[in-house]
Amino acid sequence: MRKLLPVVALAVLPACVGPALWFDAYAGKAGATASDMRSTVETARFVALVAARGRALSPYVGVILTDAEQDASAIEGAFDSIQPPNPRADQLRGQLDELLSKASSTISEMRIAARRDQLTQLQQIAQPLAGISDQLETFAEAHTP
Amino acid sequence: MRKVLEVSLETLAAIGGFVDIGDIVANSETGARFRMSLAWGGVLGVIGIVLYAEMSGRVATLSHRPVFDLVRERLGARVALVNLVASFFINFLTLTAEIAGVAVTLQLASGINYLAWIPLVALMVWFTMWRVKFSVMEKVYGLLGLALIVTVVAVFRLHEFHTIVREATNLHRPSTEDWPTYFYFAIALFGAAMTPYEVFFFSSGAVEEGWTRKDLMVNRANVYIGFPLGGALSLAIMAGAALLLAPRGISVDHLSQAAIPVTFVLGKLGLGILIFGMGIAFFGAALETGLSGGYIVSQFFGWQWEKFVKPVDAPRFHLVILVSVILAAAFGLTTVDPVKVTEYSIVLSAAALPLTYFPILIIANDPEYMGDKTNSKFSNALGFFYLVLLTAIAIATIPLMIITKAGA
Repeated sequence: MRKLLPVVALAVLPACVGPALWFDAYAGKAGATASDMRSTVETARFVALVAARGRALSPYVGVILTDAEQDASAIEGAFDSIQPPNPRADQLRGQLDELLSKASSTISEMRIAARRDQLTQLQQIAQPLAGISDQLETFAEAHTP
Repeated sequence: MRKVLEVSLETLAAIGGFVDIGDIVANSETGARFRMSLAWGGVLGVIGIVLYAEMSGRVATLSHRPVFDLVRERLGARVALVNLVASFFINFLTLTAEIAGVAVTLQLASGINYLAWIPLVALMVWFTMWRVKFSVMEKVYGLLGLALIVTVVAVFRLHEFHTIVREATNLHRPSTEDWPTYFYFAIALFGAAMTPYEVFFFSSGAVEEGWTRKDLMVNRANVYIGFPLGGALSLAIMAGAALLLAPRGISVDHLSQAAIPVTFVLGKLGLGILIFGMGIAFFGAALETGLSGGYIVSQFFGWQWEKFVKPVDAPRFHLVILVSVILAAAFGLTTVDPVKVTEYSIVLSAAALPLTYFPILIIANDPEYMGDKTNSKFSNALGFFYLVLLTAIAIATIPLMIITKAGA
């Protein structure tokens, strides 16, 4: 069993969120978080577009938005769990947290509508995501090393 | 005429049976992140599996012994045991991913959580392996898997063929990615195409179906036509992701995202066909991996293993299969992410390949087994090149996995 421990540790390692001891490291993690959230936001936007055109089956839209909602929540939670090393990092945290929170709640609203079979309303609900996506992209570009 | 029909059916089944969850995940992920710049990784893998599957089919046909039997003979019991443990573990991960994958396709069609489907899928997988004849199983799931051609149709409808070819032939690393990550994903594509279970299943199948010299033509048609066309389906999945997901910055973390390109282009009908095709492809691959687990363990220990004998005459073979399916279903039910399991299984596959392919190359050159059907000089040169490549990949995989945090 002891011989197996390093193997298990190696397998688990990539899933861990490491601490950020100084600002640059924290900013790098914030940039990566923004990039991950942008992917989720764009997934939700793209599905809203497809659904509005009547091209997707209702259960599929529900599943993909449920996945997106869970991803958004996980991304937000993982970022919030990183200790900001100084007041400058606090400011960055506040800036990104606002975007993450808006994205999460909008995707949740989309999931609720999809589960109620209101596919035609998805694009309207998804409207704020366009601006959020642009801001996340700008943020990621500014803070990715 | 009957022979032509048989060869055509086998070849079509080989095309439809080529793609599994590893191919879909690896090609969607790389297409979305690297566009077509890593297409060479998949092509290299397809050439490799064509080369070694043909060899293993020929070896099994002429020696009437499947690959793992020969692995033990040539590597000795100890080294073969290492290979058995590694291959069985990877096979188990793949079986888990395929069963969970079928469950996810049922979720996409019904909206009911995939965890609720896993026990039913596992039961169906086991029952099919228990009751359905090998030849029927292989052909039916292969032919129905042809529904995945919908991915090629979607790419053609985008009219961006020149972009795909230009990007695929222009070897470059996107500026947003570093070299270790680039090569890690190349290994993932390579591993997805060259998974060891394919040769275990293919060679054991040749013995199961009692192939003779006359069937070598079927073997060649399967691998020379069926596998590359199956590989083309994988490339179409990559192309769809490259054309529609990459420009939007969407990375693929779920199977549901892999279906977006076809849905966007072909609508509900296309989505329905794709979900059906994916479900069948994963189900067929679950059968192959489930049987492969039974095959390699039984062949290593010298137990009776053929599916054509009554289960009562091969109890340990069927017990290994049953236990594997139960454990895979239980692992899937722990809510482990099927996409992550798939990623680990294909990358670890790549690391374990030399131990399987080395003995095949040796036996394929032994006139005692092969008579006048030993490898040509060209096959040997290519086979040796791949063996060196596989060894380099086996050494590099784990360090790359750590450096890139598994491609994160």
